[in-house]
Amino acid sequence: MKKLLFFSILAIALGSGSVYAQDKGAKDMVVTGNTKSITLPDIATPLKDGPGKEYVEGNCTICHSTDYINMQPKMPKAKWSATVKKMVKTFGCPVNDAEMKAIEDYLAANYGTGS
Amino acid sequence: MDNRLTRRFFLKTVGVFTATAALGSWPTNIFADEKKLVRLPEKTDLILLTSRPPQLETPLHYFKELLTPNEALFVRWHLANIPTSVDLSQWRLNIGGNTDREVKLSMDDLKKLEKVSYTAVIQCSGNGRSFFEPRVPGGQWDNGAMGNVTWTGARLKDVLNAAGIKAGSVDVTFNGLDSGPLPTVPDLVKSLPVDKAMEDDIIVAYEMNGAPLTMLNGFPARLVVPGWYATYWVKALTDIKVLTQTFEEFWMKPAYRIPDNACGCVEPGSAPKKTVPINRMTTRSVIVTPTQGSGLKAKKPVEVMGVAFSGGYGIKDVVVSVDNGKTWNTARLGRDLGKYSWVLWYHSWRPAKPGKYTVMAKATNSIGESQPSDSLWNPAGYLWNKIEKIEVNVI
Repeated sequence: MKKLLFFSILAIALGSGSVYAQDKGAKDMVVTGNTKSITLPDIATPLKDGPGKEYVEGNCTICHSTDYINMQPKMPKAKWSATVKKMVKTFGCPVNDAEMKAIEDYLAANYGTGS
Repeated sequence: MDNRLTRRFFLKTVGVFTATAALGSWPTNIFADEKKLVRLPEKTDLILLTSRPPQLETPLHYFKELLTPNEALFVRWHLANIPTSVDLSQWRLNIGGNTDREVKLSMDDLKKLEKVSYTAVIQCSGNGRSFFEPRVPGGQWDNGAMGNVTWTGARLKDVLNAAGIKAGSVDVTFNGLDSGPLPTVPDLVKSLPVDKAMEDDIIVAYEMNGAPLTMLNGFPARLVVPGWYATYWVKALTDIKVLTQTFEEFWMKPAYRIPDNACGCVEPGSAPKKTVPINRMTTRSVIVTPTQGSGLKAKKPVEVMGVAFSGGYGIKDVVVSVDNGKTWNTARLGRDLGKYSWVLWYHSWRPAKPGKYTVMAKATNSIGESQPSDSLWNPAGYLWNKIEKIEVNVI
C-alpha cells in the first residue's frame, strides 16, 4: 500500500505540469486530414421496474438518456407532472394523453417523494 | 496491466490517496456517496451526470491546481445531437444579419485576426444546484461544473467588425453545431446585447490551455464571455447574427432567467414576478482540502486550501474560519492571473484539540461583492454562492 501511495503522489506531481497535454492515447478520437472525430461510448443506466416503464424508455429516450431521470432529486407528483408537461408541450415529446399520464405515474411512483 | 485500466484505477483512487497524503490519516467517509466515473473521448474519468447529451462533472481534487487540465474540464451539452466529427475544410463561422456584409470565416481567417489570451473561470449557471433546499430539478451538479482555463482566440469585436455592424442593432445571437433530435426541440441559440458583444474581452476561442478545443468542450471554436456564466459560451460556434430587436427564443426566455432583483433570489419555493437573463457570475470560494468528513490529527498542521473567483472583478480577499464562523483569518492568496481567473487560497491550521470542527471560507471581490451566509433560493437553481461549510473530525 505504501508503494502504491508513493507512486500515486509521484504521478500527481508529474501530472500537475501537464495542463497542456491532450490525451492522445485514446483511440476514440481520431484526426484524419482536416477532420477530427470522436466516438461516444454507450452508457446505459437502468430504470426501476414498474408499470409505465416502457413508455419512458420508448419516448423520453428520443431526446435524452435515462440518467436524466435517475439524477433528479425525489419530487412530489405535481413536480414530475410539470416536468413531463414541459417535455411534451415545450420540447414536443410525441405522446398521447394516456401515455403522458402513464409516464407521470411511473416517475412519481418510482422517483417521487410519495406525495 | 493495460494502461487504460491502470489509469482508471489511479483516477478512481486518487482523491482518497491525496486526502490521505495531505492529512496524514484516512478520511472517515471514503466509501460514502460513491459516484460513477466515465471516460469520454479526450477526457479523463469524470463524474457522470448524464450520457446523452453528455454532462460530466470535474472531481474536486483537480481544483488544487491553478489551471484545470483540458481532459478534466466539465462537459455540459443541452441537445442530444452534438457534433462528433468536424471537417475544418468545411467549417465556417458565418456572420450576418444587420451588418454591412455577410462574412464566412474559415479557421485560417479566424487565426489571422489578432490573437488574444485570457485565463478565465468557466462555470455552469447551475453549478452547486444539488445544494439547493428545497431541491430543484435540473442538472444535479455539486461544485464540479467549473474550471479555470487559459482561452486563446480572436476578439468577438474584430469578428463582428469584419462584417460591420449597422446602426439600430440591438442583440447578437450565437448558434452552434448541436441540435435537438426532434424539429420541435428549440435549438440552442443564445444572445448578448450588442454593447456587451462589442466589449474587448469577449473572444471566439479556438484554443484551451494552448491546445485545440476538445470536441466535448466545443471544437473547433466557442464563445468565451469571461465573467459571465457559461450558458453564453456557445460551443462549436457556426453562426453569429446581428438583430435589430431583442432576441427572446426559448434558451433566452423562459430558460436561463433569474429573478429581477439585487440578490437574484425569491422566497424558497415561490416564483419570481419578473425575471431577466442570467448574466455575470456571483462571487464564490470553494474549499478543496480538507474534504468534507476528513479525519485530521490534533496538533498536526494542515493546509486548508481552495479556489475563489468572481464575475470579472478579481478577488480582494478570502477569509477562513475553523470555528463555524466565530472567528475569521485572512487566507494567503496564490498567483494572480487576472480579474477573470480564479485564485488559489491557503490557510495553515493546527487543530489544538480533538473534536468536530466546521471549516468555512468567504471571498470578497474588488468591488465589495461577497457571499451570503444563508442560501439564496431561485426556482432554476442558479447563482449558488452560499458560504460553504465542511465538517472535519480531529482525533
